[in-house]
Amino acid sequence: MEVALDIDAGRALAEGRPEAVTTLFERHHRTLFAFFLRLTGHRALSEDLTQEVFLRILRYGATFQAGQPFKPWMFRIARRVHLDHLAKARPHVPLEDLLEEPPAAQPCALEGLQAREEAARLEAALARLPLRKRELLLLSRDPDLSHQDLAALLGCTVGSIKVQVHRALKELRTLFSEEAP
Amino acid sequence: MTTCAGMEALMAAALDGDLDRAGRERLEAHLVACAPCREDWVALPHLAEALATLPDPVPDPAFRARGLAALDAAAREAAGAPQREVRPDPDPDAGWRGWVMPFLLGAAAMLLLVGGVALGVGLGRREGPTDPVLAMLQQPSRAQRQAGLMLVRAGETTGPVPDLVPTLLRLVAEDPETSIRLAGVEALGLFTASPELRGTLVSAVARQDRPEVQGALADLLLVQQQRQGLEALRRLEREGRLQGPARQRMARAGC
Repeated sequence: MEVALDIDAGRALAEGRPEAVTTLFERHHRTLFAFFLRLTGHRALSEDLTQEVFLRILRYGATFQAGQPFKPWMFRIARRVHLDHLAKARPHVPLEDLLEEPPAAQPCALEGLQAREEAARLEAALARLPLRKRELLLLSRDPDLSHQDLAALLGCTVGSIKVQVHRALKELRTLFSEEAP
Repeated sequence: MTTCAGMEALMAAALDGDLDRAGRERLEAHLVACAPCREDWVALPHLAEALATLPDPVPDPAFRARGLAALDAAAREAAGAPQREVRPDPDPDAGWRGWVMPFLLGAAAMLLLVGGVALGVGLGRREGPTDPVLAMLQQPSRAQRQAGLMLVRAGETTGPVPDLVPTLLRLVAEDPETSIRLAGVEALGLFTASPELRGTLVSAVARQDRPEVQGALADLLLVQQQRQGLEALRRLEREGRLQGPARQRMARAGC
């Protein structure tokens, strides 16, 4: 049902009805914001990158293949937007940005760890993971993205994706252990 | 004993349930003999699960209304408004506001100029708002109302807040366009300290018939009144007056 909403909106975009982008924004802007925030650590920048994704969706909607899953296409654009940002980012990072607080978690919804401290530790460990591995784990945690989708997104085989996810998780586990109080 | 390096692919395949019998036997033999890999085998699925259920950070409540308004404007422009020069590759450092907002504010200022003259003629004949921005918010033209909201958000109004807040609240409650209502909610966010808003926000949530707008108003209520706002939302929920998005906001805030 949820995916059907995306398919309908994607088809509308492909048919030249740009107003469908608001439906997609409503459904996915939080997901993208969280993705970007965990990649960049900057709230305002993450909002801008999220907005830029939807503006590109609006601009290139006619190229979306109706009937195809929407999310892999959206994340393809999101990765492009992030790469463009990295390519243009100034090497100097303001001190204020470095001191920005990490994203706030909502511990009550955490079922696996059931503790605010552990969720914060996991966020901190994730933030220390190298960018490429962090991006991979963030993409792999999305239930709507299959290993096949990830392989197509990242340009490698499904087998390679599985091994890369495994290695990234191992490294995350090490970092998580180092975050212990 | 086989080396650990070759086990990563086997473990990953086994966790996905697509490891054949021979591979499974190799993996089991290795896990019996290798304590570090055994630890990985136990711990990594839990870590993946914890990662998958980690609560996502949420954007600022105003971002949603701001984003929808900008997309709506861009969609309308794409649908046939006069073409303007569009930079093929907007500077991500400047962000979307960097190229959308100057255009929109420029258009708003032009409408204010044109609309203000027309309103000035009209004001000579009958009583009405003396602040041109306030008057724009009450125009039948969608473009005029949208431009007025942009000017409010840009701080370009001299109208008294006691007049402006009720006008915005009326817009949010009655405007036929959802995007205008959402932009109105964002404009109201500038006046959270206003007593006019404090006294009426709960009833604005209660009577709002568009789910997404009610959700944005609920965000505003929670920002403005926090605990009291949450209690007000719970009361409205018990009365059956909250729709899906506002209920979600309430649930998140109540965690």
